[in-house]
Amino acid sequence: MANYFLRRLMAMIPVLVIISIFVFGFVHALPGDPARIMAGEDATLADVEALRQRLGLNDGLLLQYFTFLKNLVTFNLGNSLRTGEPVYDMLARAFMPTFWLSFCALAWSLVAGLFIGVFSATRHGKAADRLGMVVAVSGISMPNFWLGILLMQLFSLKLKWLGTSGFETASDLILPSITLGTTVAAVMARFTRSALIEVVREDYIRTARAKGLSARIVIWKHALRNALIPIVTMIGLQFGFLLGGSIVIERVFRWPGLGSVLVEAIYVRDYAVIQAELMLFSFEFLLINLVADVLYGFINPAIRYK
Amino acid sequence: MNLIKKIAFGGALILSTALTPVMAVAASLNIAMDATVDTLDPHDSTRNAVSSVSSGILERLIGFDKDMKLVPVLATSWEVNGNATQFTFHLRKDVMFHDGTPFNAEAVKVNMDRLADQSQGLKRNGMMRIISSTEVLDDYTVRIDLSKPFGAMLATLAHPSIVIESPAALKEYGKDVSKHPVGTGPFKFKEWIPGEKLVVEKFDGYWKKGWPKVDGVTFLKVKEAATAVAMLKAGEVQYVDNMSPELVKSVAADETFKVLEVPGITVWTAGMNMFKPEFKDPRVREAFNLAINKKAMIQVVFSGHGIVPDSPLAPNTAFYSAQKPYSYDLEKAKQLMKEAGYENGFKIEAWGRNTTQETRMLQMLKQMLAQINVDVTIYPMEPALRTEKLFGTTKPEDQAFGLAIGGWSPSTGDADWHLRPVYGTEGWIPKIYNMAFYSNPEVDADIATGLSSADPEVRGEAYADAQKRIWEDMPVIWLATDSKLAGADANLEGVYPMPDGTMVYSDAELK
Repeated sequence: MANYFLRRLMAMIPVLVIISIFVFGFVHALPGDPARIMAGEDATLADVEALRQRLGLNDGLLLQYFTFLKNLVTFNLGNSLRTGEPVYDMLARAFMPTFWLSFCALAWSLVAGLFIGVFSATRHGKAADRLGMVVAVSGISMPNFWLGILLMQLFSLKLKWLGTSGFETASDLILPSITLGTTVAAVMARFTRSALIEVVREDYIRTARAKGLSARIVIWKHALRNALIPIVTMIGLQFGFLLGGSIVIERVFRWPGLGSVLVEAIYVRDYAVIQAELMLFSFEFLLINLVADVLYGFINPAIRYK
Repeated sequence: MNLIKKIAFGGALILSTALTPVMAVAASLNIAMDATVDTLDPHDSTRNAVSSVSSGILERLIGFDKDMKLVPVLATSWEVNGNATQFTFHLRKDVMFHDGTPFNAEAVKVNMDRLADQSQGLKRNGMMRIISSTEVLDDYTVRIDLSKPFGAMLATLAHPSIVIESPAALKEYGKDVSKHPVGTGPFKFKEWIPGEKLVVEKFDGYWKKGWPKVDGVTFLKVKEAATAVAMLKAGEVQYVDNMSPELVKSVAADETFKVLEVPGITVWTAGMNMFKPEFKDPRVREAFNLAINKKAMIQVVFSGHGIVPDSPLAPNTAFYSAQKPYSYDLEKAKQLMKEAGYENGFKIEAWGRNTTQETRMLQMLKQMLAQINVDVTIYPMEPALRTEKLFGTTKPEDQAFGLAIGGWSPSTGDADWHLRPVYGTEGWIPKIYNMAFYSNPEVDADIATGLSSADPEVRGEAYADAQKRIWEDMPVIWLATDSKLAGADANLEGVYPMPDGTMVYSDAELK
């Protein structure tokens, strides 16, 4: 098991190298000259040239790529072209807010999604099922910035229960995680429902029923456990997606997370920051996939790792 | 399982801190800003946001009052020689930097030397390239010598980025002074979390006795306009910088808040590319100016918060002189197009940024120019892409655009830094900002005359002539001058937007 885990970790290295080539190529292929943008509209041509020299943008592309690779390996990640601040510090500062927000959003949406999914699946085709799915589809369809602003109007301005935005205390997590998790909850509900509907048609469920087990045990223990494999895959994907930071939610709730760092960096073509952040996202995805693979073994002991 | 336990424990910890009430600090001020502060060294920044937050920490020799008129700050008086090459300043004697370093002629020299030294690679070195030397005459008198006459020097020294920083701090921190600003202002720097907030606190040794009147100011970065207004209404901030015009009504409706509106000095234009044969005909350029209903444009783009330009310069710019506006007149525009042989119009591209405002400008240009049969294809571009396309080539004849939207604000508040970059031959993009590739030797001569003297009469005369000629030549469509807007708590005094779009908070007072 540990062996398997280690081998998978090692296998990430070539994948990450290939990703680094794509990331570097993509970032440098973006039209727009960082020096020109950072010098400002009223800069003269000479000012722009001086800045380009200072930022090291006149170096050859290959040299720039190897500097990037070296920085990745040594974990120093280089400095922001815009502020000169170490990229590592920028990402470290923004990571925890994004992590907590993703975690809270995922946690509640998972519980809600599972319950709505099971509720709908066990009443398949009935009015209650349709009600569950109407709730889910509304959650998917509602623009979340709009929901965010509505929640803020209600809880911060009318009721004055919560602050409008920012991340100073844990209660600041409530509104953004509700907003961010709504879509995830809806996706999870629909996914759980369809996975479960498929499983309850299986023979072993009929057998369990025939043994005289209660409906609750059949559904929650036998059916759900078998439906869990695709659901775990989905959770992994959703979590990876949430960890990328939400640009819209972060903007509405003034959340100091990775999404805003990335957007700001793209505006000014801050190569070092964009590259490091894209690499971080790729690494997170690989890691989450690995964890999901390992979890399969716990869910279904029939799965073995070699 | 262990990991899950750890995470759960961390969550519990965070939740427990949530229950601790936040203590409100008396007479402290919170300000919402939409723009990013990326350095605290104004010598190395071209951003308004940096000028705004620095204005309470770092001071200049000369500053601007509310109407962009020059006023003494760290200099009490000054003399200029006849051909504007020697500027002598008499300094305040009772001033100290936040780190205890005395303010004197030597401190001014250190700063001017830093700005003049082109090898520093600072974004504002270009502005002070003209300085040849700075001499300390005595402890409180300093003379700046220029390599050639520069009549706009006083206004340039009043520019928000030409601040005097503590020489001790410059020595100690070097480039890192961008994170440790030490000035003579009413507030000293306390804390900065980039992209999130900046905190300044009262400086007890401030030279203006009795000031500042608040204990501290916290600047919060708020990108979303609706959130900023919600924060104002929830009492989390007392001031919203650069408020979106759409939200003015919602703030004005509540009498516990007020809306501050200041006529801006940004003039929005659509430059007409003079390398396109159609625009070589002055009748076409006039038709374009007459076919645009500017009042309607201001209504749509700025929710009515702006004025129709009546000169290449905005009214609050020094040496502005009003011309006769080109009022909306579709019939005459059609007539002019017919006379020029373009009755059936032609096709052009119009370029701008994909911001809400510029996209609307482009859409309105397209609609209105369709009335004179001009078929406009609009390109609202991601800002960096637009910069690349406009400033990426040194060959004007290769530029594909017919119209290019631009908004220029002369941050020195002086005619020179509007006319020279936008209408001077030396300003042709990519060099500065002349996107029409307009060139008129008489205008260039006026600009040169304006720079050759610091005498307001000589300069005023030259700039009046330049404005008249540019207005007659119509190299651009003058679209709008937008107001600078802010929302504030009704009890807050002394914080306001400047015509150049920066914010001043040194005189903040909660009544």
